[in-house]
Amino acid sequence: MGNENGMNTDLFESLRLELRRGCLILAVLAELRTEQYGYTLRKTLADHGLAIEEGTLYPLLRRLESQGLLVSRWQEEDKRNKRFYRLSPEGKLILKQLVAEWKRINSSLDGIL
Amino acid sequence: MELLDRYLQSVKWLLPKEQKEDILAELSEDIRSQIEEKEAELGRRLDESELEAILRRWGHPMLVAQRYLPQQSLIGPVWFPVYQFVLKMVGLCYLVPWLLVWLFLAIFVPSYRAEHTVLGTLESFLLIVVFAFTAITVGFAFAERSKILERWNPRKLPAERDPNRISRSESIGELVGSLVFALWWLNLLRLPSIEGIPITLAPIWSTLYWPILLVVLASVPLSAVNTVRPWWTRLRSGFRLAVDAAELALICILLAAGSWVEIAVPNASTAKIEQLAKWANLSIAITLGVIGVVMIVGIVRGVRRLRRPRAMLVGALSA
Repeated sequence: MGNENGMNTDLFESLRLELRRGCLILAVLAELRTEQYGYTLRKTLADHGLAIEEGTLYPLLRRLESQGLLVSRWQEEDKRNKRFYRLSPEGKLILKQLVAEWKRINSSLDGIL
Repeated sequence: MELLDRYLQSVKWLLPKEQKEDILAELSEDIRSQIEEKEAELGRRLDESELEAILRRWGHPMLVAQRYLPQQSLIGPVWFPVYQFVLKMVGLCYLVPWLLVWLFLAIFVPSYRAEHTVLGTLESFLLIVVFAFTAITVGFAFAERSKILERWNPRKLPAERDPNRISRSESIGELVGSLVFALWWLNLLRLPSIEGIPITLAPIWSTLYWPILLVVLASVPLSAVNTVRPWWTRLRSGFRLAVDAAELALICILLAAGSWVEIAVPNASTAKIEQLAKWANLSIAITLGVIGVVMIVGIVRGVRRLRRPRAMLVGALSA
């Protein structure tokens, strides 16, 4: 029984992560409509109930930047250099499309669930 | 902060070269922000164990750095199951038989035992394992990087496999082989021999004359029926298993004899004759060992065939 519960928890955890993966991208893009640096972005996401590990967030930011969806710059704040990210014009366009797609999926799922 | 510097140094070592400093500055900034926040919460500087807890949460430097690297693998998830299957097959069909033949020789052939040390044989075996593993891995690494999966045709996919189907060519080959051997064994057929080298069979062959003939003749009708009706039934599977088991028993008895032929060459030195006899006996021992391994494989397959649900055999028969 114990094993079965453990397996269910593992399975749930892996499915949950799979489900969250795409949502996180959408959340990150949406949050970066206003310029932020990694640490504050992570805090904001966590405050909205979407906690994300540092090890996941920073590589994701790099990837989105290399895809042209984000732009970044180093800026000094509180005597420390911080890398600030914000949506690029292309990112804004993609976010708009993704939000529309998200709404469509959401309403389909509402119908199914 | 020595711990933090050590951590960042370990992460840096593995990061992509062109982004090293940039990524590191960003990671360092985040960790320092976390430390500051925690210190503000506690109203004091963090001690070593608290800093350690923060770094532990970040994860092993290799894991942190790996997330910035492109996903790469020598053999990817598409090819890996096939790679694993080929490795298993080579292990089961080549390396295990190799070991079994060696064991047979080491146990039953004194001349082989005298000339080969266990260490020397294990060294050869290890070389074969390393070579096989390397060759297969390199082959699959090339396949992974090739576009072979893009050039495919549904018509070239292998035919549907029926575990109860018997290959007609195998049955015919077995039938012809058994008949030729039986005729030779009964002295009704003369096979070409080496001129001037009279080979005398050891007494073990005459002791086992009738059992060998019986086992060989037993497989003749089975192969004949299998050629005409090429699918396994329970009766024929059981019969095949019994014949294979009898053949394996005979092989074991023969191997236990240790010497199978004697050679007498006129006008040749004793040392030369002994050398010739030794090589002839070694060849026979290897042949018997290989046949023994084939029999073991046949027995395992036969047992698995008999343990298959009856419905599968019926299905095959009606097809």
